[in-house]
Amino acid sequence: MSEKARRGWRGYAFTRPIAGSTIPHRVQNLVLRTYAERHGLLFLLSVFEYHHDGSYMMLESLYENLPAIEGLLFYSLNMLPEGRAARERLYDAVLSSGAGLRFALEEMQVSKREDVALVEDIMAVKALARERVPAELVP
Amino acid sequence: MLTKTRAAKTAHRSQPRPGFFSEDEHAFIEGFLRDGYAIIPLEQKDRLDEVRRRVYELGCEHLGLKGSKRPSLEEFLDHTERFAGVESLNALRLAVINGLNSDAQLMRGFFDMARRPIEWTVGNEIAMQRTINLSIQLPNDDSSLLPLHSDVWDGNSPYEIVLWLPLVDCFKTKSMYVLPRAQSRKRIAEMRGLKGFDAEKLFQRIKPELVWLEVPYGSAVLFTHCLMHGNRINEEKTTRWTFNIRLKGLLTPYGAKELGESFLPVTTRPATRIGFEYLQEEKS
Ligand SMILES: [Fe+2]
Repeated sequence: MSEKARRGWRGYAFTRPIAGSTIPHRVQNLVLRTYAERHGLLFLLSVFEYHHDGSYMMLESLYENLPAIEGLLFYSLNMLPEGRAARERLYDAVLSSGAGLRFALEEMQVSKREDVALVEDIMAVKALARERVPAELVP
Repeated sequence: MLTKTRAAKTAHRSQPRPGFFSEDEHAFIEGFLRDGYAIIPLEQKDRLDEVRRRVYELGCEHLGLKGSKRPSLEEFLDHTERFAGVESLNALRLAVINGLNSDAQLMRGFFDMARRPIEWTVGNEIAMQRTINLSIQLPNDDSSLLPLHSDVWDGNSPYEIVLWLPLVDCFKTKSMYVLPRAQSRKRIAEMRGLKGFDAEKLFQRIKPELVWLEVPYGSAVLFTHCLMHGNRINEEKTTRWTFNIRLKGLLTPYGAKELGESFLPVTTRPATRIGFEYLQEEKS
């Protein structure tokens, strides 16, 4: 019995700044479309996340539809949730429904559990570049 | 009396020596700090030979050099001008690069060939550029000049170094030139505050201070792109084929070429991962 055919990659873009810069929607869409074209992917119209800081409501609303599509196509890795727990929920949602995660700007993808380590290494270094060890962590 | 008691309780500390380096490492580091570059012998020569062979095959394939038309490897690399003109050089370059990139072990191979001096220069937790750059410079071709510059001027991180790796013997104008570190610093300091910059004028003025790197096949150059460097018209009789790849300490600041987009971590250490996970758990 064959699984119902999955169709397309859902674009995911930001309204708020990405790594400190505001990227016009048009530019994000352009990058997403070009990436999809070059990789022969069916591109599904982008969903834009809400503007307020730390919101991933739009992203999380996409989870239930994951079994019907091939995956989520982020404009950039820099849009991933800052907290590890939220990222784990994303990886779990995507991988457990047999979908994938792609990042257009960085040309990277997570299609299996082992791919997470590289993304997390990059997130670790980016976080380090931003912050110092908070004093309250010292017992 | 108080001072005496304190002194007695304090453990004797000898004058600290900066760096716990082995002798050869120490000598390398001193040289790199002085010059800003080092010419290094490559390890795993057979892997380099393999890459060179692959470049030759991809090049011949792209240019349709088959059967009796197919030159020897030496002729193809040394006299590429016999098989490709300036106008078709970029297509040849891309065909070779794309062909090479299908080998998942390519970057690993380059890294392994120079791992020890790379680690001596940037540390052992390293980010490496995702893609490799190839440059082909035909004899007397004036279209691929690289004027005197420092990559930092384009917004690249000053913490990056470049591995410049030729597939042929490079010398004189067939090679690249650098302005060694002390002079580079002096010249860059002079430029600050100046209005307008004419690379050619400056090149003519500092010509006697420049070093043309002599890099035989089987060796490479490691240099900081904080140095002023460039190349001229290749006035030698043979073609230049060189790769360049950027590397940096994983945890040093990034510039225009960001982690993820341009660089990838290649040797992340467990303490870095554990520390990050600890902080993340505190947060969530
Ligand atoms: Fe350069």
